[in-house]
Amino acid sequence: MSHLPEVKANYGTLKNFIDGEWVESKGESKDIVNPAKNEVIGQVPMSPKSEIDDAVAAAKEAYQDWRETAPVTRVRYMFKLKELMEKRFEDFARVLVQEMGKTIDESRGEVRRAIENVETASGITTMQMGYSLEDGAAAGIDEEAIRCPLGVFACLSPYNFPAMIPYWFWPYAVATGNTYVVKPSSQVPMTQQIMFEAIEEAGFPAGVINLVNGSHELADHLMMHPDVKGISFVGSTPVAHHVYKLSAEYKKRVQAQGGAKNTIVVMPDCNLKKTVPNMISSFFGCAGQRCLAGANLAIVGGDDFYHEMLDQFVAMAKNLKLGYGLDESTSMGPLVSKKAQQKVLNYIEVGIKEGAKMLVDGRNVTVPGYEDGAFVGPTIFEEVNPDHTICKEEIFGPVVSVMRFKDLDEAIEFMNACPFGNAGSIYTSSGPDARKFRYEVTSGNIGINIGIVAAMAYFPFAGMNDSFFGDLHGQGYDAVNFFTDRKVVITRWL
Amino acid sequence: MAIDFSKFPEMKTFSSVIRYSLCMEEAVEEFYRSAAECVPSAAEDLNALADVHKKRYRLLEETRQQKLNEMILEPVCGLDREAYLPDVEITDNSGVLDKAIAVEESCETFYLALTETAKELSREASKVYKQMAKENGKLKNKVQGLK
Repeated sequence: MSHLPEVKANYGTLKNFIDGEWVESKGESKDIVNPAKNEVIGQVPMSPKSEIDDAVAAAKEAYQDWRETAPVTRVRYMFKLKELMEKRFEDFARVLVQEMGKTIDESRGEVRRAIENVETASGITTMQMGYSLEDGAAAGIDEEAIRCPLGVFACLSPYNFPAMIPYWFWPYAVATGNTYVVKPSSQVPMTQQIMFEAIEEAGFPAGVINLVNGSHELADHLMMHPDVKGISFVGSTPVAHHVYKLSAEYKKRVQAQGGAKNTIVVMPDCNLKKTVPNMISSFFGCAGQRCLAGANLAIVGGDDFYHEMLDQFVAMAKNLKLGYGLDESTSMGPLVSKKAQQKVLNYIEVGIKEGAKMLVDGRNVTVPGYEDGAFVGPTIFEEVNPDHTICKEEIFGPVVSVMRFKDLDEAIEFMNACPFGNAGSIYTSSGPDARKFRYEVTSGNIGINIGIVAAMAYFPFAGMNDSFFGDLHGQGYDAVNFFTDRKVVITRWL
Repeated sequence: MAIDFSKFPEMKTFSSVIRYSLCMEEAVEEFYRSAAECVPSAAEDLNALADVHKKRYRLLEETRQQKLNEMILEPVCGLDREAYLPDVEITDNSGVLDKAIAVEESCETFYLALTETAKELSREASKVYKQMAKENGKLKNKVQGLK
């Protein structure tokens, strides 16, 4: 089976989108590499700080007019954008595969989620409403709260979801009357580039939404910029912490989503036939590069259940087809880069050295036609204990650490000792156990018989402990609250 | 038109299943166009049937774009591509309508199997397949009426 056509073989040097125009950057460029082929497919500029200044200045200039644009008019741009995104859906998904490596199914699913955020933000005329209380202050004195936009916001997005993550933020920011600057990951900047073509076509006024490519130095510059009101970030925990601290120091609102080490608990009363395929997608989907991916597999129960469950899991993992994501039968693509591949391989070596027992070895996999790709196959260790590095640290690859627990209490105790708190799932047919899990586990996203707990656009993408710094999350009402302030008005007619 | 289904992807993912379905609908549409030429007395009806399959092609594209949920992209198991191949090659004009009935039956069997498989993957997609299988039953009756 040949693969789907690529939108282009090479995308040349990307541009920035500032003040409604595509602008060539004066910065030096670095290569963008297709990780399945290890082939250069374009160049991304490392824009100088002055270009971020230009983007912020354009956004600041556009703010007042945009704020004065009625919400009902603002959402019409969103409707138009949604229509254009549907039209270019395939292009977005295929470019995403090319630069990031995930499968076409995963890419289409991701683009869908970006669109869902535009759809949700299109409801801003309702979502941004304030509230009022007649005689709220005293008899004859009314009180109301109005949600007001604040100014210029910016997001710094990671490499694992290049299409979706900026859309957790900017549609809500812009729909509520703010203006925006997106800085995508320099590893995967192309998806945003072509998504911005749709934004341009949707006709947002110049400066309302801007795109600047560049390195982490630009990110710091944005965080310190006096005209930026708030920062949204998704990435690793150390960087999220840095973003949180630096942005706060510069008096900004901040929402910083960090890393994860998610545990999936399997109870002996689960529906095994339906559990295993679902777990497979959690552990190995996006080659393990999701912040919601399963990493530790905690099996509760006796020997018979343990072996039956693990045998099925191992068999299905071994059956996954590695390949180029544009081949529609591929179940798992490469990691995002050779560097990421090496990092995962290093963790596998550490797992072996520390005494974990390898059941499935994903090293040295060969993918016909893509021998130079950044592939690591599904890797499963058992006899992992909580002190093992592979159990504690975020690997961000298709590596599973299997552990045994005598009961649910013990499994929850293990989970809650983890410094992260992004996601946790349980597979069970017991209502009380499911409720206990939901109640006691300190993770922001809880799955009951579902391994990828990815909040839909109208719910917050949650996260607790070291997986999130801030208080208001991306998406839905949390995003609306993040991008607006409540102004209280008390009125007395004399 | 003979379709080489061996070139189709193994049905292991949501997209590869849809790809298979798209190829099937395309082949069936083409079959009805050729059938219309072979049976001039029923040409209008056979072309109308071709149009139905063309419309189903678009429905499948929409399903692929709008009914998948990246949260539940589980591996697809148990769909053997060899088991559902409709015979769309016309070799004998007199047997065209019987062949059309068999083609609709093959499609119906495939979409019914898919309805079950897709239930855990995407219930909304599963409903689309169920509706398509039901339609295949109706189309089969229509062809029977042409005999």
